[in-house]
Amino acid sequence: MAIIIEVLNKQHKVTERHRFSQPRVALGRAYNNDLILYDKHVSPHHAELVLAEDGRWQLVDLASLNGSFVEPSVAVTQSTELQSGQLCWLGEQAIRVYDEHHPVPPALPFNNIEQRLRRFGHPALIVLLALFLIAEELFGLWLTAPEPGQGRWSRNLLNLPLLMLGLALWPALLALWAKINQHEARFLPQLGITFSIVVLMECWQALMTVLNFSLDGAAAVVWLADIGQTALVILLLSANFYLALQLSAVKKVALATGLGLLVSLQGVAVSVLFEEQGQLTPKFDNSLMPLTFYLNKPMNSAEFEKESAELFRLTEEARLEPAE
Amino acid sequence: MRLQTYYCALLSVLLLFSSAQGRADSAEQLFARFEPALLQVRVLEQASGAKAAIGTGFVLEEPALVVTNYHVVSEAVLSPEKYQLEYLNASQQKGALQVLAVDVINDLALVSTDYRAPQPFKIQTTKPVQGATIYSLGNPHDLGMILVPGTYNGLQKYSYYPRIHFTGAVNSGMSGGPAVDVNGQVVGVNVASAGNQLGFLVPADALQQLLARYQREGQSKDLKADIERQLLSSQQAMFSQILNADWKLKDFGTGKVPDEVVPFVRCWGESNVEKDQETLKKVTAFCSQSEEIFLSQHFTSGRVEMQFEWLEAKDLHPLQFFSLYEKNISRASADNQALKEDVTAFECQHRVVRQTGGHHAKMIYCVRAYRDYAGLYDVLYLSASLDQQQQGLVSHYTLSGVSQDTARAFSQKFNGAVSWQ
Repeated sequence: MAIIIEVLNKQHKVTERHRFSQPRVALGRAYNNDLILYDKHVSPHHAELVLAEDGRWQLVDLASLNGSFVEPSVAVTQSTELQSGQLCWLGEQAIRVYDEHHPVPPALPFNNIEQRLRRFGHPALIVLLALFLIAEELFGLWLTAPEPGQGRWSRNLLNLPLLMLGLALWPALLALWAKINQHEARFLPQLGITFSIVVLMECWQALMTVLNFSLDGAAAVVWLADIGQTALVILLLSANFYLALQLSAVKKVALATGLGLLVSLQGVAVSVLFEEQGQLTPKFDNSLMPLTFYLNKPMNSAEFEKESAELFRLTEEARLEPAE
Repeated sequence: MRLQTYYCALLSVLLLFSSAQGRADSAEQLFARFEPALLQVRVLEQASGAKAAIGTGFVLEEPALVVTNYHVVSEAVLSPEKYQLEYLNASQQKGALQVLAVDVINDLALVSTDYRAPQPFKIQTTKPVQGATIYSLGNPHDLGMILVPGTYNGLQKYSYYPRIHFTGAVNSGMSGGPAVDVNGQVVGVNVASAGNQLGFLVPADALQQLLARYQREGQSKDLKADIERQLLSSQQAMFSQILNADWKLKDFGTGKVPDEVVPFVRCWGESNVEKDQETLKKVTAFCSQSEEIFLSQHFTSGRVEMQFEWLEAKDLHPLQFFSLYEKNISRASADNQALKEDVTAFECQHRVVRQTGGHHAKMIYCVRAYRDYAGLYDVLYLSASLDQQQQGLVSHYTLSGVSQDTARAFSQKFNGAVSWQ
């Protein structure tokens, strides 16, 4: 009966896979072994796998310097019978042995979501998104009406490549992480996804700015803006993790949601911490846009006065509560 | 020619010497006569027994009370459980003091004492003439009682709260000390200084009024309630003067804004018009009052302040203009000092408002209430005109220590006065 040997790295990832049909397989660092290992703690003639008469495989240690062990770290004194799928160590080198009838999991169908996410790696899409982001950045700069002579244009233009590089850093980290874990790096899809979501965030921001002015800085708009941003962060992380991590889909989304909420909660925590100091300065919405952007019906002066009277009542209530 | 100059110089030196000699004599007599009636007023922190603040007080002949500034004794009035008052007289004797009545508007306090001075002070009933020599007495920086000669220069012209302009050094620690004429009669009470040789005194009239009230009503049962009443009636009196005044308007950009509406609100202005290269032309005018009411070390009130800004761009896109315009109204804060123990947090509303004339403006209105003085508020208003694409008028005011009615009346008058095309 043939035997399959998987050579594993320190993270127990398979680096090599061999199939032997002979009844005796020699393992060690010497070149006359059947399976030649590299680990420096492995003896030249370290161990042998021997097919016993009952059809089971045994690990025989050949008086090696650092010894052999089987799962769960039992030292092999002379020879030990192995189960299919059992983990063994020759010194520090981990291997796993299977008999040829060991069951394998059924084939996975192509992952629909993954396939779609990978389409974000299309170079044309990435270029288009990058151009949009650059245009958006230039629009923001133009809005502040920089003086032509002051060099603010050129300074900010020089910063643009840096900005793009900064945005590419996150997908690069994800690709690196995947690579370390011996998965496909998928840098371009990650880059495409990141750019797409950043574009969505910018659009959401712009929409909320107009809505905020139109609804006179209503608290609901502030909430909506924050919730939208958090949702987009969670979406970004979910998509990133979907491609980069080898976890179950539920775990990936849970991790992304957790991280996304943490990021937005951090913002809330900062505002709560600094609220104490800012208590004496009035907080109001100062957003100003041309009147055409005002989608609401303006108040009249009498209504404004009536609402002002309400403020006196509110502060009168606050007055009767003790100061912290 | 040279000889003539020499004689002139000699003559003037002699004259100066003799006049200084003459004044020194009478001043010396005055000081010797009144020193026993001057007290150092000390605010002691009860826990540590250390001095928290010092000032000067003087003993009156009738009734036998000590007069000082409210701001000297404010801590003992507001936190009697934490602070107590003590006097130290010329012969280094100490004794307790107790506040009987206060006038926060004029910064005066009447204090009872067991100390009887041999020659207490009398109040002068007639005003001195402009330029008359008067003497301010007090204990600056705890250095000992001194006498400062100076000149009476009438009432400060541009102040709502009456103050004598005294040309002479009034230093901290002299607060609450008397200013006397050459006959030694009290014409005012030291209250503040505005730098070199510029001092301010509360006129004797205000002291007479406080004494009259004290004689009518006796010792105050609740000083804080008194302060509240005084603030309420003072703001009402001051604002009825402001609201009944015929507001002078001035051209401002393409609009009109109020100028110096009453004598005690002074206006200044500035602009960047001379710098041609600026993309945004900006003209600013601001009006404020120089005095305020002292309520505690960190709490002041009783002021009006207005500010106007005209912004004009030539070659900007409306989106660009509004993005810059927005930054001009990003920050506004109260004009008076206060801590969160004194006031509530601001409650604000911010709306686009269509005014009766059909013009639009973004209006921001914020209110905070005084914790210890019911019915008094600080109000902050900010508005930005929205009808033009490249021009904007920002109008702003803050009122401190006003009632809701006053705030409403002022808002109506102000909005009626500010206009733009």
